[in-house]
Amino acid sequence: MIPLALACAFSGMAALCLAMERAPPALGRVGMSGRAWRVAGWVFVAIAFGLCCEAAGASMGPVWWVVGLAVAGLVLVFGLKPYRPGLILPLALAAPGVALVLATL
Amino acid sequence: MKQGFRQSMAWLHTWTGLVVGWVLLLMFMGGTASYYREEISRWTRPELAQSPVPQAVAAARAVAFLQKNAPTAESWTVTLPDARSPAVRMFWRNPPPAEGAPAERGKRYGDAIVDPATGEAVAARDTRGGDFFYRLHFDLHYVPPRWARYIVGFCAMVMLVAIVTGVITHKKIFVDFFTFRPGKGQRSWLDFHNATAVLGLPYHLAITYTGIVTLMLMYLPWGIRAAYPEGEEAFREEMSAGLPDVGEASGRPAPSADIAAMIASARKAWNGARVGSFTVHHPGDAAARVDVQAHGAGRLAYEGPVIRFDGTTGELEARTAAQPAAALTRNVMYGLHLGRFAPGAMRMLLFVCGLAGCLMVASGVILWAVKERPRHLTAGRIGFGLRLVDSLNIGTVAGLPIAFASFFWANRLLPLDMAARADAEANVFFSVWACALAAAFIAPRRSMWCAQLYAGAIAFAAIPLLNWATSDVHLGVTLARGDWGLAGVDLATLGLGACLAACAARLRRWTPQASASERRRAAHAPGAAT
Repeated sequence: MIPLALACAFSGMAALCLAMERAPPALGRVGMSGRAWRVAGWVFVAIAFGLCCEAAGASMGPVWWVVGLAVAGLVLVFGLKPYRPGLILPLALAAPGVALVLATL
Repeated sequence: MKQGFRQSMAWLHTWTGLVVGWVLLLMFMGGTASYYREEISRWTRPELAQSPVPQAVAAARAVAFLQKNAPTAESWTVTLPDARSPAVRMFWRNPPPAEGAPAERGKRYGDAIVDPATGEAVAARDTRGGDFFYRLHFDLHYVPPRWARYIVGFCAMVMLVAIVTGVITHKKIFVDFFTFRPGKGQRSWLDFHNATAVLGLPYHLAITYTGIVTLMLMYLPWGIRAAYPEGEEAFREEMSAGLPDVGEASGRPAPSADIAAMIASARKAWNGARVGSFTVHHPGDAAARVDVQAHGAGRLAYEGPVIRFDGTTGELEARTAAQPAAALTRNVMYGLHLGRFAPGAMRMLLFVCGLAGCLMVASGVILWAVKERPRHLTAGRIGFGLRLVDSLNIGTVAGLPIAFASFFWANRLLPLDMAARADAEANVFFSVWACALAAAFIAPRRSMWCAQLYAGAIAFAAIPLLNWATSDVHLGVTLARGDWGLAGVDLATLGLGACLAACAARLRRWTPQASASERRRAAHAPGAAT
């Protein structure tokens, strides 16, 4: 379940990142308003916390969550956003699904 | 301080960060490497065999080895093999020298590394391995440990000040949360510093605070002295919720109970949790006691439960109670800092967070120089302060990676039968760093940045090749047998080398941005493109 939790952390951070974009079309942010993306982001961040605690317990779970969010943010800020902005949306949408499929295999 | 609150905090952030920045970078790099202390230790001892053996068998062989090699010792401590470290490590405490005999340094303790498959000492090369980086992190190697820890503690406390003032200074912490605009000069450095700091903020804050907590009793001893006038021992005993004192040896020899049975019953008492290590007090004596400690994986607290057995009958005698809340809090903070609990994937994430911390410190000291430069350029000459900071920046930010890589090179290239070989490895590390610093002071220029970054890139990226040439546990073997601990060291050095090379290449291609006035002049110049 940890991969799924980390995937949710990434998607949540990606949604927050899209929500804060000043020029939305550049990142392919479509359909929803900035506020909706922000809400979605926080929801996924919260889901990630729940999954981390569920999978690793109340003591190790928060550690997973904190480092997962930090690394997801670093990947977004120094990798995807400046150099491959088009990939943020597809990756954010695909990550939880892929993790879920891998978890059930 | 006649400006506003935020300006004075910015001032404080700038100067606290700059004053301790270079020592902090050394500490951050040493600490980050220490996440892989066991893996680096294994890499630096290619002679060690990988041989999974049940814990009970390994323990019995360790005891047999100690009975043969240290029968008169006061106590034996044995760390059992686990997934990260396949050898049995042990040390023992010899009895104090007889009355009147001169106390010899280094005779009081003995240690050995034993192959659990054979029960024989491994003739591994003399090296500190991953322990070098671990010690470097808070002992700074040449500095007397006490002073080193004061220096390190001072730097950590200043770092805490820098973190808090940095958060206050950052004007658009939420708006700029995901902002990094490359290729824009000073703007990019500020973005980079902000993003590495803000995204890793919980990590940086936790690692700095818990780092101070690990040595808090040394920094603030007065509370204990006031509350425990009878001495520090009473405090320690109360805090560890621990076992009573083992007492004196009886002087009567007695056969010892089976260690494997004791380990099995300890595991049963802990619902099957792994045993990490055990200590035998007064081995071979009728008053022998065996303390079995739980393994640290999966538990945040640093000190786990301990069960004591009677060493002659093998009967359970005592076990540690639950710690009181204050002691447990410290214990968890200590454990959080060391990160021994982390499983493989989390360790990797922690390592990335550690690297982000290194980059935050490095970009901070660089940002100071970038900000300062225009003023010096207008004045027509580079002042002493900027030159000093430039030199230190090149010598640490670009020089330290070369030194870190050189440790691995020294480990493989120094002759195996050399006297004081472990010290020589450390000397290579510091000599290389000293050379990098000296070169940086002689010519603190952009070409020097490039040269040192490329040197670090080559030194790191070639480590897998070096391993290939000098050992039989290179990537071709370790990848094939899925030994990710050893392969990971090679792959990580390769990756770090690639990153350093990318930085160097970027720096070489970089051209200074034209200032606004230059751009205007170029636009108005006759013949300029219109």
